[in-house]
Amino acid sequence: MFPVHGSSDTLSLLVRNRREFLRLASASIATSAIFPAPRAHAFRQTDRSKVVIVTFGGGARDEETFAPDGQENIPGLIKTLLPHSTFFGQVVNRGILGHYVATTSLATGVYETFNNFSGVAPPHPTLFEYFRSDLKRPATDAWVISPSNGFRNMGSSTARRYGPGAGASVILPKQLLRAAAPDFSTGNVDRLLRDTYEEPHASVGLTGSEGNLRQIEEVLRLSRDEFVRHALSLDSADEMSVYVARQLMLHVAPSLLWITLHDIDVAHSGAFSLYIEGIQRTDRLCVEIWNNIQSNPEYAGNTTMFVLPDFGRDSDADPAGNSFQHHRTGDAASRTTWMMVLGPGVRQGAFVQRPVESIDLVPTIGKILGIDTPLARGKFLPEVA
Amino acid sequence: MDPRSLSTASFQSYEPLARRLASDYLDLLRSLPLVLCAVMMREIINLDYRFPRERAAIEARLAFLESLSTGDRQKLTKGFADLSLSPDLLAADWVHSPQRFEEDLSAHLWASKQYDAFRDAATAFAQQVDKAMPAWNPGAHRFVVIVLAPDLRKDGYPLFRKLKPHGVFFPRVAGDGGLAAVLRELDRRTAETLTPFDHWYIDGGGSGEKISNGICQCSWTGSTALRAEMLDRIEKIVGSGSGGPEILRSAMASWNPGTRNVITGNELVDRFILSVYAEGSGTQVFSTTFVQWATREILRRAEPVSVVARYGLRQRQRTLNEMFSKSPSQIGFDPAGSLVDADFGAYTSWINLSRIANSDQARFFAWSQAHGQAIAIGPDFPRGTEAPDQIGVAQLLRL
Repeated sequence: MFPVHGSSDTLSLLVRNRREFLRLASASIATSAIFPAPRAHAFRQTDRSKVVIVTFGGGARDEETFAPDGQENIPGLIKTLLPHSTFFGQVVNRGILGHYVATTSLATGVYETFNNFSGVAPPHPTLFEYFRSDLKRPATDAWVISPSNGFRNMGSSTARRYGPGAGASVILPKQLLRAAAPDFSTGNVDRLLRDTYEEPHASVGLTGSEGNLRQIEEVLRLSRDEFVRHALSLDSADEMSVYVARQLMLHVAPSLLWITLHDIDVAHSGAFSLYIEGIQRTDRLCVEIWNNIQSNPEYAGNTTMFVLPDFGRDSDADPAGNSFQHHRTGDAASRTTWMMVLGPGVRQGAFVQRPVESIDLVPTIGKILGIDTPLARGKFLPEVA
Repeated sequence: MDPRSLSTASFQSYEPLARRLASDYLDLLRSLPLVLCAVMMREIINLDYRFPRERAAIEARLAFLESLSTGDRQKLTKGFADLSLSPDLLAADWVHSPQRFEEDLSAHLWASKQYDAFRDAATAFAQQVDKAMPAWNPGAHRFVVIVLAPDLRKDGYPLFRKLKPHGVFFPRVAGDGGLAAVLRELDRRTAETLTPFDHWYIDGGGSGEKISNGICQCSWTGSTALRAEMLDRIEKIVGSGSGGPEILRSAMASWNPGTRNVITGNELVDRFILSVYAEGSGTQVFSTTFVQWATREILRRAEPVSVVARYGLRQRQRTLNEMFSKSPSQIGFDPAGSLVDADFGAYTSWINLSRIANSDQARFFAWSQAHGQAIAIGPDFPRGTEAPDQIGVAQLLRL
C-alpha cells in the first residue's frame, strides 16, 4: 500500500511515452484511411438500431495492447477492426479499479462506489433501464452476458424509477454450464486460481437451476447435450461467453447486448504468458463478435459496436504495484485505456486524441439510440454520437 | 482508536523487538495522523520477523520523523491528516490488526474517492523520507543472476527484448557448466562477505544443485509441504462458499503454521517463504510466479548483495475441458509459457534491483540455458549493444 521507494532516473526511462503510443496508433489508422469514410452523424436512430458493447476485460495495459511492443498481441484489433473504427486513445477511468464496480460504472455512466466484492445492484440506473423505459422495449431486447456469478446484478439498478424487472436479462454462461453438467466436478488448482482473481464470489457457489436449463433450451435454442459438448471444446470462459452471444444474436437478436469478457484477469496469477494469451484470445474474440454482427442479417448494417477495457493495470515503474499483475496503485497506466467504436455512421479511421472518460459511454450510446440518460454523469462523445 | 491514546500497554502482545521499538517511539507515534500511524504499526508489528536491513530502515524512518520539529512533521504528514475516515475506521483496532485496518482503509479510500489523495500523500512522504535518510552502501557491487532452466523453451521467442536497450546482449552463450559457474560465483561472494541475509538462491524447482552454507535459500521444491498446507487452507475457505477474495486474502495473510513446517531452519527465512505464499497472488500455484515474487520481495526487503534466481517449469493452465475431465496430476507442464513468464520475471527483477541503493553499480545477468542467450547490464556494459561471439557463462560473469 505504501510506495516505500521512489522512482529512479532509470525507472523514468521505463515509463512508456503515451505520445508515442498515440502516434503509432494514429499511423496505423492512417495507413488504412483509404477506406471510404462515411459522413459522421449521418446515422440516425431507427427501430432496427442495435448496439453491442464488449468490455476487453478484465484489465489490459496499453503496454500489451496498442503500445508499440503490444501491437503484436492484438492483430485482430489492429488489422481488422481499427481501419473501420473511430479510436479514442485516452479513455480515463477515475473510479474504483475493481472489475465489477468498474464494469457496472460503465453501464450506469456514474462512478459507482459500492464494495467491488459485494455483487450488489448499482444504485444508479443502467443503460439497459434507460433503453427499455424510453423505447418501451421488452426484457428480451436487452441482454448482459457476464463472466461470473458476481456480475449477476449488473443488468438492473435499485433506482426507484427503474430497478429490478426494468433492466437487462442477464445470462451467466458458467452457471449455464453448471446447470447443464451437474455431474462434472471442478479441479482443485484451477478453481483456486480462479478464485484469486477479482471475482466477487467463489465459482463453487454456482448452482444450476431449472431457469438456467430453460435459458439453454428456450433462449439459446440448444439441447443441454449440445451446449455441454460445445462448451467442453472451448479453451476459456470468454469463448463460452462469445458462443452464448452468438446463439443469443441468432435466436433473440436483442437490440442492446453487453458482453463482459474477463479472461485477461488471469494476470492476477502473476503468469505473464497467461495474461498475454488472454489478450490474444480477447483480440480474436472481438473480431469474432464483429464478424457475427456482419454475418447476421438482424445486425449487419444497423449495429454500432463499442470495444473498451474496463481499465488498465499497474505500470512497471510504480513501486507500489507489481507490474502487470494487479490494478491497485491507481496510477496512470491503470486508469488510462482506449476505446474503439465501429458501425454505420461512425467515421472510419478517425483518431480522437483528447482525453475522454469511461463514464462517457452511456450518454454516447444514449445519443446513438435516441434515449435519455438523465442520471448518467458522463458526456456524450460527439465524434461518434 | 486515536493514536493519542497509545501507551506502552498497547504493545503488550507484540513480540520483543516490536514492543521495544514501539515503546521507544511512543511519543512520536502518538503525534502522527491515524493513517500514517497505522501504516507504521504494520511495519513495526512484525519487526521480529523482518530482515536486519528492514529493521534498520524502519527504525531510521522513525528516528528521522522524531528528529523533525513539530511544525515540519505536521507539514510532512499533512496529506495523511487531511484524509477523511469513516467511524468504523476511526474506531478500528489497528494496533493489533494493522493488516486488516489497511485493507479496510484501502476499500474506504477507493469508495470515498480519496485514493489518489492518499497516493499523492504517500508518494511525497516516501520521497522526502528517502531523501533525508542516507542510502546504505553495500561495499561490494550488487550481483543478480536470473537463470532460465533448460526445460524452458519457446523457439523464435525474442528473449530479453525489454532488457536489451539497457545492456549487452549475448546471442551465443555456451551453457556447459554454466549453472555451476553461477553458483561458484555466488559462493565466492558469500565467502567474501558473510553478512547474514546478504546472499540468496531462489529456485523454481528441479535444479538439484547443492547450495553452500551461508547462502539463504528459497525453494519451490523445498517448500512443498508448506505450499500443500496453504493450498489446503485456501481450498477450505473457498470451498465454504463464503470466502471471497478479501476474506481469502485476510485469512492467508494472518496464517501462522507455527513450527509445523520448518523449511530451512532459519526462522527469518522460513517466515519469508511463508510470506511469499501468504501475501503473494498466484505464488501458491505457479512456480514462475513464486520465483518472481520471491525475488522482488528479497530485493525490496533484504536489500541483498547477491541473488541468483532460477526459473523452472510451471504447471500448465487448464482449459475448460480439462477442468471438467482431468485430475491435477495429469495436467503437465508448460515449457513455452514458463519461458515467457521467466523472461518477464527477469525484466521485473532488474526493475526491482534498480530501486535499491547503489543499483547503478550493480551487475545484472539473465541467461537462458535452452536458448543459449544472455543479457548483461551494469556500469561496464554498453547499453543497447550486442556481442555476437560465443562466450561461456564463467567468462561472461568475469567481464
